[in-house]
Amino acid sequence: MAVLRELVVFPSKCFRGVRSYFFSAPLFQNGSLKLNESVSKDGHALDFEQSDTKKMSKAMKSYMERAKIHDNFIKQQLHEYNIGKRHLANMMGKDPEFFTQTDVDEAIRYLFPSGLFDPRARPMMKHPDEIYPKRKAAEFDVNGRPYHSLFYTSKPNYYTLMHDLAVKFKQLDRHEDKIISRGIQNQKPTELFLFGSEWIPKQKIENVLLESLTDAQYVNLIKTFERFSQHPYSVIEKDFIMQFRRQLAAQVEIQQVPELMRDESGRPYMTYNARRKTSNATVKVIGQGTGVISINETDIHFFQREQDKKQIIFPLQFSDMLGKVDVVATVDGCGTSAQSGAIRLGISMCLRSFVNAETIERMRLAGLLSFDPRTRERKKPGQAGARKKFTWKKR
Amino acid sequence: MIRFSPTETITNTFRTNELDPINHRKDHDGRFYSISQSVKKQLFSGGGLPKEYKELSETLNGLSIMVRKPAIELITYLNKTNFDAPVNRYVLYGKTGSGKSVSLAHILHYGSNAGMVLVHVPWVPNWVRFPKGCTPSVIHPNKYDHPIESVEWLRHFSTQNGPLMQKLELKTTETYAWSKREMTAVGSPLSELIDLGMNRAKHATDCVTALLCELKKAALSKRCRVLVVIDGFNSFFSPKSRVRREDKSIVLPTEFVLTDAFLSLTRNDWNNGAIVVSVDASAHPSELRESPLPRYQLGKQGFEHLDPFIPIEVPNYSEKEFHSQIDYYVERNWLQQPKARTERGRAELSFTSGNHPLSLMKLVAPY
Repeated sequence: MAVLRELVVFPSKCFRGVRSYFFSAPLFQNGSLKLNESVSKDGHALDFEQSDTKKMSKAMKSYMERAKIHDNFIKQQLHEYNIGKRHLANMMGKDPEFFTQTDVDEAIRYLFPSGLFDPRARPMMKHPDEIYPKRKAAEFDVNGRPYHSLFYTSKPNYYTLMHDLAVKFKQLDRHEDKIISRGIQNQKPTELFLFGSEWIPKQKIENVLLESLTDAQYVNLIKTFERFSQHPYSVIEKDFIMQFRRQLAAQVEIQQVPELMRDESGRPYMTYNARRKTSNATVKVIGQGTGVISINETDIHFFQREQDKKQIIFPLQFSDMLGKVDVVATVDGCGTSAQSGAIRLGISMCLRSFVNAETIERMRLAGLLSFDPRTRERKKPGQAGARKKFTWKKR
Repeated sequence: MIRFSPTETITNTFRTNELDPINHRKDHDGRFYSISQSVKKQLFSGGGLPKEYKELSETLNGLSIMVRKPAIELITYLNKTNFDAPVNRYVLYGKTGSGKSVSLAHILHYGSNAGMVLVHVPWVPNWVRFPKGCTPSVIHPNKYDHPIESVEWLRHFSTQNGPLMQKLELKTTETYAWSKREMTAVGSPLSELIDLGMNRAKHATDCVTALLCELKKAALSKRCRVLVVIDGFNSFFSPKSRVRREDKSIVLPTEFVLTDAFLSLTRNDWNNGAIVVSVDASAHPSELRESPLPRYQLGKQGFEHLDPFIPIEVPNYSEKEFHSQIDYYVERNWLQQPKARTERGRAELSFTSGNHPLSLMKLVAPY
């Protein structure tokens, strides 16, 4: 368990999700390997370091050291993670060979139950790559010569991406020309496949490119992508584009509209319990009616203010059911505004069973079917109210 | 100014040609009939129409009252009354703003046309809640006079019944000694009594008592037929009034001389008349407004006084009455929005007002 505790991270920043476009070479191993493996043929190790450190500047030297330390650290973490996984599998009585990350998560949830609200604050044990932010591989060799041709732009990955887009655009143009020249009439340009997704945000792009961007550069990049994806033959590069898009949250599941119930006299009716702030309303809408309304056994004048009466009438008028249904409601709690809001939601939800799908959609767009989540904001210490501050004294 | 003269044929379905309340029957239900300016002045200048209703009628160029079921019911009863039997007492009840006062106004017009002497109290709480000055009575110990209100009421009485009183020429049956020097002898015309009351505020309340007594006797001896119309009758039995004695204790309405006078008139120990009374929750202080029903509003004392009576409910508008009212407003251009004239608009008005007459009037008003 002591081992596990070291491994289980109570995390700060955890990046996950997008597969790296730029497969950052496994840290600094290349460089270090180069250093270590430069053994001459005749066997005795060249005193590489000694001869080269004279040529290397102090900055270079410290950079190399830092990189090496980070490298070793990650290696160590990985080693510990793997061992920890095996221990965990043992503890849980599972086979260590086939212990996956999901099993690890489950085990941690079982062993370290947490009541914290944010999932990112709860204990986790993940692969070091997912916990520790990625760093770029060595950008220049021992002699200080950069590997990347665009190194001196200071954002080589970003500009590489922009250049790639331009190149691909030209390729698509040439493809289009070819199609036209061959006179292939039936191959129509395909539609955009971008529905249901959006461009990944700036933070994510920065994680992918391992470079920080200014807002202007991000906007520029997205504009370029937009232009690119609007090319008639952009579907050829679909995979490339989709790397930089994320799916939008799945559409709200179409709630099953409940079937109408029948009472003793055969009239259809529907009930619903609605809430608004702390008031609860039980609403029953009865079909084949004449527009009779009863609220807590009194008529519409239970609400004295016109605005409350308007709230009640809104769903009935909107769906053209005024005078066609009867409403029986009981409500308690909070004040008149909340009570009328609760009854309104109740009526709308009941009316779904009486109207067609088009009207339900219109009601949804009008906001009649949404629960109003607003509650009273908490008063904070050091302030007079939720937002109101005490009198500010200059001195 | 659009006015409908009695001879003109009216084709609107919400109006009726029948301007005489005596002839109002079931088929007139939901229809408006207009009251001429002279009649309005004669009957209602001392009160009787609710303030906002009166102002609206002036804005809309003419008083038109809707004939509704309670009034039709009352008119039918009054037409069939056996005036040899003891007086019937009718109590109109209903929610505040449902149309009781206007129904009473309709009945008042009926009584006037039928040649009955009108004893009309427009709104009793005016005497109980806002008296302009109560003085201890000289004649009745531990009772209180309403000098100013009595004068006003006598004036109102003489306006309403002026021509009729001249025709009837009723005489007093008793001597009334007001002071050492002032006296009203037996056989003097009642108009003299009324004039004395109007001129001498000090004796006005006792004049009222005397007048009511005389009218009762006149009805008993078949010299005239009396119609008593009192709005807000339950205020006579209110648990408090705004009148205080010197020691700051509250005077109850039952300790007013006027109360005694009208209570004696509304007893069923006479005949050749009718008593129509309304009870309203707003006539009582807020503690007694839970229910609009007569037994609750009258209390034990009031109920025992009025029992047996015929209760007549004044309900909210029926669908026919509601549409008639909207038609009236539309025709008078009071409802100007074109949307208000559509089916949907009417449904919205009906729903939001709950078909309640007063709520509808307020809803439709531009202020």
